[in-house]
Amino acid sequence: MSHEEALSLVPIYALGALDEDVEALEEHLDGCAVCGAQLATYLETTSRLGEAVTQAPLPPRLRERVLTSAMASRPRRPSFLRLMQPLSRFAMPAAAVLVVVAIGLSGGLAAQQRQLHAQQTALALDEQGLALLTSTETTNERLNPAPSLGSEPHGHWYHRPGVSTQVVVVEFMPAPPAGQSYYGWLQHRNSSWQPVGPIPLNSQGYGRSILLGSDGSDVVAVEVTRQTEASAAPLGEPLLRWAAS
Amino acid sequence: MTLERREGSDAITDAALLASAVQGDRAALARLYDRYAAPAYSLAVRLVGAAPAEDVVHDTFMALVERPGTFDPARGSFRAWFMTSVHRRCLTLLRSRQRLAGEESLPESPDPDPEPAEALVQRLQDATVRAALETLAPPQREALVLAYYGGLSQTALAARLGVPLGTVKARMRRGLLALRGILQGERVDESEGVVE
Repeated sequence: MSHEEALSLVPIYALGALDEDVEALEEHLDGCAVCGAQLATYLETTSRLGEAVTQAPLPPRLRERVLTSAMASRPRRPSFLRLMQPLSRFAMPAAAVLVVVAIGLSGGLAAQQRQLHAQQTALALDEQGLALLTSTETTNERLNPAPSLGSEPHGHWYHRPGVSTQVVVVEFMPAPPAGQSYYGWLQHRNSSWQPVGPIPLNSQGYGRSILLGSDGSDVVAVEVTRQTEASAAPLGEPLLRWAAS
Repeated sequence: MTLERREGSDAITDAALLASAVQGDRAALARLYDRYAAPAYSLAVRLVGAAPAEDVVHDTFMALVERPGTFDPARGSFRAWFMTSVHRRCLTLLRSRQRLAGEESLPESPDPDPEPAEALVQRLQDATVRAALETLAPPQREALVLAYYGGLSQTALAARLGVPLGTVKARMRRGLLALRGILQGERVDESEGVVE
């Protein structure tokens, strides 16, 4: 399914009315940040439709029924990886560090608390990135691939004046060679470089990284490189790049 | 009816409550319930009736704690995800009812007793959403309302309205795009679908 076809089906999918090509669309959504962001905004709209109906009083017994059965049936030993699944397509350096810390600890309450804190921190950061991606006032610049990558891989840099969150997304990227990772970079007007951090990829070649603390108003270029370790400035030629004209 | 937004007085995020609930925090799950059960139940009552609605809400919360990974923050807010989950469960129920009603040979045939779209709109409690829907071109409003509140698929909608599938898809697409813009307070260009 092409990107254009998918984009045209997203509103119908959001309404629950799509009855063909559903699997193909969902597969595309797994790897396309643009369609994913569109779906998120449409679901906000359809949920408003859902909330608009005449209020029906809740059966008093329902609350206790839900709480009792949900607590009884929840996984006794929840899989850490499963809990982190929502982040798998939205990984971020801070979360990765916290996850490593959490995994490195043995069992026990302290480890569980750290694990929970890591999840909460990561989810909170995730939500900040999501808020930016789904805002209609967000600006999106396309990062074009170097000739060596071919035409399909590309990236996007999302930013919005006055909002101290920036997101760099890469799509359809080839898996990096062993020992290497993709890194994002912002170049400021004074020519200095600011690292966005590593950008881990999922199985579809999709990855993203979130940067907090500035709104990108003085950014003149965005690059993605492939290198073996973090650095203060990009090493080697950019694989993806956008530059202000 | 309007949900209390996360940015309001209750500052703990839905994601944080979900993470705690999955760890066995009953109070956290109770707070999620208190935030979302009422609108979810109301929607389900509207779509499938009171008794099934109770099961729909119950099962949605159960799925939430058993498979928390199905909520992906990258695909929207928890509020939108939860309402969508409830809506989808209701659609599944509605369509299985249609099949059980002897429509196996025409599984996508329309609701045998559909309520007119205009009546559905007038019964909405949220005046903002009602006004936004009334701004849409009538064919777009009809397609949106019958799809979302009537549970009709695109194929069933085309059959009911007697128009080509492509026309129905275009009406839903333009209508939802326009509605999104209106509810977000944007100016919507006519070419984007306020007027078909």
